[in-house]
Amino acid sequence: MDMTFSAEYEALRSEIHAFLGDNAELVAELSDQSRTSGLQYVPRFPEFAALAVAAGYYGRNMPRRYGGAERPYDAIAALIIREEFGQAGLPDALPGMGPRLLAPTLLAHGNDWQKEVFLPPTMAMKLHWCQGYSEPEAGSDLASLCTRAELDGDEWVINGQKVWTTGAQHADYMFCLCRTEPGALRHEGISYIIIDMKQPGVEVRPLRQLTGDSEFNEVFLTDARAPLAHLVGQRGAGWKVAMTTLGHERASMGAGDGTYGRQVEALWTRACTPDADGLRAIDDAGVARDLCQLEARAAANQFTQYRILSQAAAGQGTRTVSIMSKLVGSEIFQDIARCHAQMAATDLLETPAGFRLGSVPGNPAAWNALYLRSLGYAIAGGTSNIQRRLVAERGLGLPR
Amino acid sequence: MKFDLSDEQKQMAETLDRYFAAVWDSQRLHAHLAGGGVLDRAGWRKMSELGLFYMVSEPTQPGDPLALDAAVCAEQVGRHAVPGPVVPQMLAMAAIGRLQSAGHRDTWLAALGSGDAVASFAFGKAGAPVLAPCARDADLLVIVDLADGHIWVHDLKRDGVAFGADRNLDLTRRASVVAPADPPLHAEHVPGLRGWLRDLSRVLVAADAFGGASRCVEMATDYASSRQQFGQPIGRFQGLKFQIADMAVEVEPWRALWWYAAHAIDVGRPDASRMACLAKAVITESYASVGRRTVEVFGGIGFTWDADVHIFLKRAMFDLVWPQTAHALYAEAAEERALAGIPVAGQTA
Ligand SMILES: Cc1cc2nc3c(=O)[nH]c(=O)nc-3n(C[C@H](O)[C@H](O)[C@H](O)COP(=O)(O)OP(=O)(O)OC[C@H]3O[C@@H](n4cnc5c(N)ncnc54)[C@H](O)[C@@H]3O)c2cc1C
Repeated sequence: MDMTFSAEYEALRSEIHAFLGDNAELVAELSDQSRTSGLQYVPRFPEFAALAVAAGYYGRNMPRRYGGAERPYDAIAALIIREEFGQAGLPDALPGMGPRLLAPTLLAHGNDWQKEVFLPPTMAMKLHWCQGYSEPEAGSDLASLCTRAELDGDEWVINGQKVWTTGAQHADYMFCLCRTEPGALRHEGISYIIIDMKQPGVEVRPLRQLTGDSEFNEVFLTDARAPLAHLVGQRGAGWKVAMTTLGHERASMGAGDGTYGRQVEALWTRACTPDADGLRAIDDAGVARDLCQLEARAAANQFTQYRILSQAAAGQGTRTVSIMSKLVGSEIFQDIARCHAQMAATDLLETPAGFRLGSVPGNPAAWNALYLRSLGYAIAGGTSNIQRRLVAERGLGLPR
Repeated sequence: MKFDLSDEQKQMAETLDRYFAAVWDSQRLHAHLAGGGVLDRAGWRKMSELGLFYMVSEPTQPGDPLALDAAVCAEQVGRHAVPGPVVPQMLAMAAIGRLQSAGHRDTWLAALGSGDAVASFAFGKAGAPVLAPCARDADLLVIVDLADGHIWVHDLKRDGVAFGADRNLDLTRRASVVAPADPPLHAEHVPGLRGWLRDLSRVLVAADAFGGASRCVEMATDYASSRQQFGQPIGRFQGLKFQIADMAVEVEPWRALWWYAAHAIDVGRPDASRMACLAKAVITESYASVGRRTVEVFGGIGFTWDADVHIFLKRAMFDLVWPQTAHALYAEAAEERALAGIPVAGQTA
């Protein structure tokens, strides 16, 4: 066990400090806690992204010719970047479906043309993407999706409906799962196709979420067209291609950047603050117990991320713990929300507003937004029940 | 940065795992219960050959992985429900090994280290009775006063020792309320030791509890994979499958917490005491909770004396309250945070 960092890594830490300090004004604008969501849509974000890629902090495992920083795999450097950027209220990697989900998928399954055309503008935050997986009849059971794509000469013609499509209203492209092989087995008839969102056959209808915001949408595809060259991987191999992406999505949802710890610290402060009658929540043994447990769980989650990183760096697997990450993280998140609600009294009735994932709410409206958003977190990217199934079957080896 | 056990620690864990699995199998554990929980002295001597009791007795250089080594052992002790005061004896030797005046120190260490003698351990006050694990089996009792740092070594085999109420729920570590007879064999004030012993005791019990809790998850998983009902293994029923997944998800993250707390003690990190305190509270609570849920997974057989589950559940109940209750630890951690108060505006997020 060694939690010290060698001189080389301490130097990286100071270098990041200096980088964030040199760009303090930009960082302050971007990390504004009151902005609701989607850092990738903030006008000055691409400017910051370019600096962070050039400095080697973002886009580390993306080759330089595709707009990345092309750094050798280094779990410890990644950890330091995550902690330092997290401390500054910034994500540890380029945000959005493009850099997070599409880019690693293209890198693994795309051909040279696709990589050259799509990756550089995606890494430069000039293209926005959305994920077209879920459908009205295909949620947890994604493989039952029925959006069809048929070849017409050298073009795909796509018909069907997607739903819960986050960011579709801002997206230039959608990476979409379509059925291309009628009569094939469920998992074998699916293809992964890139669809231009700005065309007559694509209609986006924003859906209002229970938070009041509209981030996700319905997407209607009516004779939408995509060039044959937009097929990623082989025809009918889309399930395998998509699973790469899902792995990346879940891996990025464990919040190992210290966010939960900072949120719990804010809960302690709140609990120590006397109300109008001079009463403090911390003097209630039930609240004190909840806070202690949350502090322990946030710490354990953080240390578990260290454990996963260290064992990965040594080339060892931590399969079961890694599979648990999303479920553990989303349960801590929801319990942080519940704990605040317990102390909030009538502040609980504030209109929810101004909370962004990864930040620490600064007022009752933002805490209420967290209370509601933590619910979506437990559904998106595979519901908690689906995670339980994975933990039980793939982690513990219980019979299917 | 390497947040993992060393190769030596992994090896030590494996050795103990294999040894305890062979020695303390289900049959032997039940025989121990049938014997009323009386310590098997020969077995105790044999176990000493693993070097277990010496784990924290030698003062070493700051940064040596003493607490983590000992915790790695305690995990295996908990995992196999090893009867006897293993953790108390480690703590007793930790205190005795750091006495300033030589006196009988080396004699005691030799006797305890070889398993010829048995020690119990308690936090308490001069003259006041203490709850001591395995006191009826023990030769020595070490009492540490957490308020002022006094350490007393008592002879439990002499006349005049008053054994009060027996607390025999956990027959692998039956406890008694003991009023030792004065004068003690030894009394000393060792500056700077009490906080370390307090933190160490918490981490060791946390590791014991983790070992037991993760064993419960394993037992539940194995049973659910083999027991058939409605023509299939019960583990295929999603209701049960999810109950077991939730148990695993509650327990597994704690491993990194007790690792950290033990390491933090060894290298003197500022949050060492706090993490030890929290780790003890949360992990022992999870152990009790998972122990109860494991009974349910086993159905009727889980409710019997002959099944192993209750042995673990009762160890969980012991760990939950010894040396302090989870409830007291939460109060302590909350009070500490309350005293730190409200950060000055602008200093924290
Ligand atoms: C905020 C948010 C953003 C999202 N963004 C996107 C996006 O950008 N792109 C996209 O494609 N999708 C997105 N989704 C959709 C998300 O992936 C699905 O909602 C999710 O997979 C669940 O599918 P469903 O909504 O159809 O629920 P269902 O699958 O109908 O599930 C309903 C309930 O049944 C349970 N359930 C279902 N099957 C099982 C089972 N086998 N065993 C036990 N319980 C089961 C579920 O756990 C859940 O509790 C988003 C969702 C949310 C909430």
